[in-house]
Order: sequence, then C-alpha cells, then structure tokens
Amino acid sequence: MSATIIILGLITGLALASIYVLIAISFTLVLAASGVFNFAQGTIVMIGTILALVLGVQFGWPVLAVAAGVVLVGAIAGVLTHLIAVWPVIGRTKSFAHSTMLSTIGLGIAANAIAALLFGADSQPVPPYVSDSPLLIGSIPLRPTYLLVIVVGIFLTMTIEIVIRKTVVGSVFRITLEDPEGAQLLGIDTRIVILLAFAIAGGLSGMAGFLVAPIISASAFTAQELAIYGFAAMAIGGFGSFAGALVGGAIVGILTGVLPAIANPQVTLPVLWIVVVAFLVVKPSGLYGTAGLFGSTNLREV
Amino acid sequence: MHDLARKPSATALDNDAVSREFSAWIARKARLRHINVAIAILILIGLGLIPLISQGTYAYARYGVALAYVMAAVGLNLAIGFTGELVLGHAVVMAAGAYAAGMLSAHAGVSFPFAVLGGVAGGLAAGAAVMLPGLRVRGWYLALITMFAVLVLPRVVVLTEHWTGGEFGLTGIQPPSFLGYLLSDWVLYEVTLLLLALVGLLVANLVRSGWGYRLRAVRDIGTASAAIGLRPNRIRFTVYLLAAGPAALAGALQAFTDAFVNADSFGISLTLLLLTGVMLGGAGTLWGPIVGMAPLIALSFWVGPFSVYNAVALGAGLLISAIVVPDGFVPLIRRRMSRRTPSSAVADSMPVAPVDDNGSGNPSIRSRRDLGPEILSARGVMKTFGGVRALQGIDMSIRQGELVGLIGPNGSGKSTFLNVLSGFIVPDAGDIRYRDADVTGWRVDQLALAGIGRTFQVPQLIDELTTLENIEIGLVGHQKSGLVPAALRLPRDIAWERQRRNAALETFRAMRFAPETLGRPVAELSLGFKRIVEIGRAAVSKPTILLLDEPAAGLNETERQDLGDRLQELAAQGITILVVEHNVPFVLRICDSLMLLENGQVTCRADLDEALPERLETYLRHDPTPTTQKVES
Repeated sequence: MSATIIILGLITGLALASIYVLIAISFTLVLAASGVFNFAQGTIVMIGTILALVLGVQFGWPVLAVAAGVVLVGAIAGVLTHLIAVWPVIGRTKSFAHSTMLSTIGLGIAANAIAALLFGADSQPVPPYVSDSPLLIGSIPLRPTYLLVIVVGIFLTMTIEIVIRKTVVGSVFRITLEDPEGAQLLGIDTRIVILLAFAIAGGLSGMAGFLVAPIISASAFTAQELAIYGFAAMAIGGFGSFAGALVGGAIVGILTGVLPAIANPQVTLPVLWIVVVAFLVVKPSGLYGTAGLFGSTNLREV
Repeated sequence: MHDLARKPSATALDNDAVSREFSAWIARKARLRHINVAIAILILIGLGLIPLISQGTYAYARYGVALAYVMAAVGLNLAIGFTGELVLGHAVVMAAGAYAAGMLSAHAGVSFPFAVLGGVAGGLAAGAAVMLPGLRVRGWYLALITMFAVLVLPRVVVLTEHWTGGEFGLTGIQPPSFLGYLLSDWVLYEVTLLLLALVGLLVANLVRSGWGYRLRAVRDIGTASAAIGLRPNRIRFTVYLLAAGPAALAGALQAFTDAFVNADSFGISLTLLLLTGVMLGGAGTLWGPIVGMAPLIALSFWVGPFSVYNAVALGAGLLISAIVVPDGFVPLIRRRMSRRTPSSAVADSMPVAPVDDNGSGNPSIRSRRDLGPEILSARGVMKTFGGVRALQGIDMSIRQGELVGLIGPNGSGKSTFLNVLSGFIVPDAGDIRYRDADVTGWRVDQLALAGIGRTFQVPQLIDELTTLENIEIGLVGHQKSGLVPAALRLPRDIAWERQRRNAALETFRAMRFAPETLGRPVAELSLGFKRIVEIGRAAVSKPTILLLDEPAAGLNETERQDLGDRLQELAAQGITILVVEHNVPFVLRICDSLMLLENGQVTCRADLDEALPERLETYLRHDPTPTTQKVES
C-alpha cells in the first residue's frame, strides 16, 4: 500500500522533474547567450498553462495545434521580454546584470497581474491530452498524462543538449557571452543570437506550461512558484550543466512528488528551501556545476 | 614629511589651497546635512499632525502600516543600496517580527514594549537564516534564494497553526499599553513615527561613519576590499542583520497596529513594494526609500491595498525605474540641483598639482638611503592552475626600503606572484616570509593589516565618493570602530573620523593632488588619476610594503613622470615598494633594482646602480614594444 503510494509519488515527481528541467534549461540558455537571468521566465510557463486551457478547451483546437500555438506564443513572449526589459538597459547602467534582474522582475510581476486581471483569480482544471484511464503495471495504476510529460520532457531536453553540444550553436552562444566583440568580428550577429536564445527559451517555457497544465491546472498565480522550482533544480544540479539540470530537476521533482504523498503537503516547499539553502552554503556550484557558465568565466561570481 | 619639503614655498602655497578646498568641502557637506535635517523635521511635523485632520481606527491602522513599510524599506536600502546585496527576503523578516511580537502578546501576555523587543529578536533571527546563503552566492542566486523564502513563509505559518493561527491569522493580540496606560490609536501612530525617525537618524549616522565606507567598499570593491584590511563576508553578514533590524521592528509594530497578523500581508507583493520603493527613489541614498515609497503608498491608498492594480503598478514601476531612471529619483534630483550651481571645472588631463622637479635620473640607492635587512622573501613558490604552471619555484627577497621593479613578458606570472604575496592566491608549495614570520596562507586582510598594501590593474575605488574619502577608506580596516558608536555618533566615533580625515589630508598633500580634486567624486576623474588615488589609499595607512600592479598603464607622459616622483617620495619615507610594470623607461628611471620573471621563475635580479647582467640587458633591449604592452587584463 504505502509502497504503491511512494511509487505513484515517484511517477508524479518524474513528471514534475521534466517540467523543472525544461524551466532550468530555459534560464540557462538565456543566461548563456546574454548574461541575463530572466525572472519573467516563470510568467511564460504560467501563460502556457492558461493557453492550454483557452486554446484547447475554449477554442477546441486539436492538441498538436495547441502545442504549436503555445510554443509560438512562448517564443514571442521571450523576444518581447528582451525588447522590453533587456534591450533598453544595454549600455545605460553600471551593472547590466543588476538592472536586468530588476527589469525582468518588474516585467514578470506586471505581466502576472495583468494575466490575473484577464483570466480571473480562480484556477481551472485542464483535461489531459491523452486517455485518462490508468495503465495498470502490476498493481500500480499509472496515469498516461504523467508518462507523456516524462517522455516529451526527456525528448526535448536531449534534443537541446545534442544541438548545443554537437553543433556550432553551442559555440556561438558561448562566444557571444564571453566576447561579444570577438563574435562580431567572426561575422556573428550577436543581437540575432541573443534574440534567438530568448525565443528558444520562451518556446521551451511555453511548452513546459502546456505539459504541466493537466497536472497543476491553469492559473494566473503559478509563475513565481514554477520559476522557483526551476531555480531549485538549477541550484542543486549546478548551474550551466545539462547533467546538473537533469539530476537537480529529478531531485526537486521527486521531492515535490513524493513528499505530499507521505507527509503534510505543506511540508514540501519548506523542505525544498532547506535543501537548496544547504546546497548553496555547502557547495555553491551545485552537484555538477562548473565555476562558470559552459566553462566561461564571466559569471564566476554567481 | 621633511623629505617632501624640498620646495617649501610651493608646498606651503599648495597646502593653503588644500586647506581652503577642505574647509569648503566640509562646509558643503554640513550645509547639505542641515538642509536634510530641516526637511526631515518638516516632514515629521507634517506627519505628526495627521491625527488632527484624520481620525478613526481604520485610518490610523493604514497610516501606521504605511510608516512600517517605509521603515522596512529604509532597512532594505542598507543591504540593496549601500552594500549592493540584492536580498529580497524582507517580507519574511517583517512577518517574523510581526508573528513573534503578536504571539508573545497573544499567547504569553507579554507587555507591549517587551513583545516588540521579542519581535525584533525574532525578525533578526529570521533575517539571518534567510540571508545566510549570501555568504556563499551573489547576484541573482541570492535574489532568488531569498525570494524563495517569501514563498515558503505561508507554508510554515500553516504548519505551525497551533501558535500562528495558520490561514485564519493570529488574533488575540492585546492592545498596546505602556506602564499601565493603554496607548490609544493615535499614540501608537505617533510612537511608530518617532521610531521611524529614530531608525532614519541611526541609519544616517551609520552611513556617514566608517561603517558607511565599509558597506560601500563591499559593494564597489568586492573581494578586493580585503586588500585594505576589510573582511567582506563579515561585513555582509553584519549588514544582513542591520538591514533586518528596521524590518523586524516594523513588523512588530504592524502586529500591534493591526491587532492581527496574517501571512498574506507578507507575500511577494510586499517584497516587491519594498524593492520598487528603494529602487525608484534611489538605492544607496538616504532619501531614496522615502521618496520611492511615497507614491507607491499613495497609489495603494487610492486603489485599495488588495487591488490587483497595485501589482500592475509595482511591476511596471520597477520595470520603468530600471530602464528610465536606473539610479533612482534622488540622484536625478541631486544632479539637477548641482547643475545649477557652477561647478569648478578641472581639466582632467592635469589632476595632479604640477611640480617643477628637474627630473633627476636614477640616483644610486646607496647615495640616497640605506637599505635595511630582508623584509619580504619567497622560497620555492609554486602555483598551478589546471594544467598551467604559472609559478615554478620563485625565490626572491626584498630589502627594507627598496623600490623593486618586477618585469617580464606577458604570462610570465607577475600578477599571479603579486596575488600570492598579497594573499589572494595560496601557493601550492613554497613559503613567504615577511618580517621574520612565515605568512604563507595568511588571509588577505591579515596581510593588509600587517602592513602589506597593494593596488590593482583596474583601480578599485568607490566612484561616488570623493578623492579624499577614497583615501580615507584605506584606514577604515585599521580602526576597530564598533557599530554602536557609529550609529549613535559617539565622541569615540567622531575621534576616529577626525583621525582618518587628518591622515587622508596629509596623504592628499604628500601625493600632491590638485586641491580642486579633493571634494570631487572620483567617478569624474581620469583613469590615471584613479590609479594614483588608489596608491594614496594604500599609502595612507603607512604600510611597510606596497605592491603595485602596473600603476603606469594608460598614463600619459606627464602623469607617468608624476607617478614616478610620488613613488620615489614614498620610498624616501621608508616604504618598500614592489612594482609590476611593462614600461621599461619608467622602471629604469625610478627603481633601485629589477627582478626579471620568466616562465614562472625569477631568472635575474640586479641593482640598477651596477652594470646590468647580460640576460636583463637582452630582455630590456628585445622587449618588442614595451610601451604599448599595457593591455593585459
């Protein structure tokens, strides 16, 4: 009995883990290319959950069309984030990192509030994209929705990882951050690279929202919490490392999946906070983190 | 000092001008302070009279809470503005203050003053816990982990609902009373106002004391501030507690103002209100939190505290302030006002008072002064970074009073060696001896306080402070000034300040800075000038040894000449100097001896008054472009 509950919690945890990994990778991509930590990323995930409801249920679009629409809107939101909160700051302040942190927090909060005005304060359930009848593996009922999230999450993560590692894209991102002028001398249009990073990260975040919507429902008040879970995954796993994002996401996901199953659900967040604080105090670079980002030294002081 | 008085007439004239400039600067500061005090008193009277025109329990509660928010923002500004630590957990600190005070009153029947004290203690404890990771992580990591705590708070409140009342809030807080008298609503409001004024006064005292320099040094100089004898992490943690204090007090007062505590009041929106208020008004300015909070509080009075439009306005306000007025409104207003008064224009190319020195060549050491015994030495110092063997067994020694030039090609390990000597890098093997003691593995600040000063390739100054203040900072680490004397501005602290200022003035004169630069922020001055200010900051504490990292890089010919003269004067005072430099004519002119570093080893060491060894001659001749090799970061 209790073993079943724990296994179910594990499955839930792995599904959530895939979402957190996607969010963590979105953060990392933007940081890698532009040096901006985009606090508004959680807002894009939240918009993803709401669009999953609006497009899928209220407009009745087919699932794949909803997914494509959410990714597109997420990408546009990412580009808008750059144009509104990052581009105007460039070259105007003493501390670019500091200013963009504040501007993206501001943008995120304003967007969250506007979403709450438009969508309303209630959270609304989103029906699952695949059959809701549980698959019985032995005596354990598995919800296909969760399996879908895990499979798609792993697939997307692997794709990004391979693209970054095996193709020139990764090098382009790295040189854009480390030496923008050098990158320009090589004929790289750094503005395009940075916009592209914001767009890809936005699309991934939107996708994460779409995937998680049937699990957590559509709500205008989930942005900060989702961003924090993504951050927790990154902090534990180690910043700038894909292996770290995977392991950190898995740890955070399993904690948030299993703890509510075996203890008071209210315990989850405080426990996670203590775990992250402990990691940051004992090993600030996380499990797999390098001193800098993708081996860069620009962000050594994170 | 007698060494410097070679041209008594000119020096006396300069000193007169320096004294005049100093008095004028002190007078300017005093006038500004008087204006500030006058404005503060006017505002206090205005707010104190509010009970005459607006009454009612609900109105007082809102005014009281508004004052509490401003108080918390004043605390937050200490961390974010003055120390540059982006902590976003002040809502938790306020909540802890409110819950601790409320629970003491409701459950234990503790009287108002002691419940408030208990609340402050609770808030401080929560602040320490929430901001602890700041000792290990910086920047957005710190912002996120502290914001995380704000999301955790409501869960903890529910988990402890037996004491905190959980989702329904904490009720049963007794009406505040003092010495048996029940404090009515308006009295509590006036008490809150007075406490806010007190907090403001203490903070104002603190930021003009040596502690103000410490905080800004952590913000603008960072880890390099250890080189002036400070311990950045210790200062950071002190600041977390200092910044938490006002927020904890504000929370405790809010508990009594509302007679109710609920976790909802201390969520992300409060975090954002405080953050936006500080940034909008001007982080790192005294009036910033007040100027910034006023419109936000006014808006919340207008649309109601629970309206979602608050969040829209706060988010948009933060976004706009970050984009449009990155420094905040107070600096903007200040710039407007100072533009009207004619500024004494100084030509940047000539910031140093000209001295008609008849450029004496390189007087032989022994003819100039006697060198003492060995004072600093290295034996077999090794350091490897990854696969790069930066230092491969350095042996060298420096005699007391010597002015040594450390030269060598790029990548030969000069900067690494300087970092080893000043403690920033611990060598893998070998040892460093300083004044007959083994100092291998000493911390940077220990070495600095023991008399090893240094400068950096990129000058590490506090841009907003003046030349004189930046020199003064060199002494802060040497003074054991406590927080309480600083906040209360006790005579002890005033004496520290006078001592610092006099020493800085003496150095200012000795370095022959142009008098008009004394009261100007160093941000307005040239790079070459900043380098010399940094040397002044290192020299003001009368160090035994000065380690200079490429002081002449980026200087023009006149500036280089002046710098060389100043270094020789410092050496004449008995300060030993090790200078890393690429500019061969410069080192040949000023140094007593040269050390050649190649591939992580000292390959040659020679006094300049003797014939140079073959190897050194070859290096000096063949160094391809000695004057243009300055760009080495």
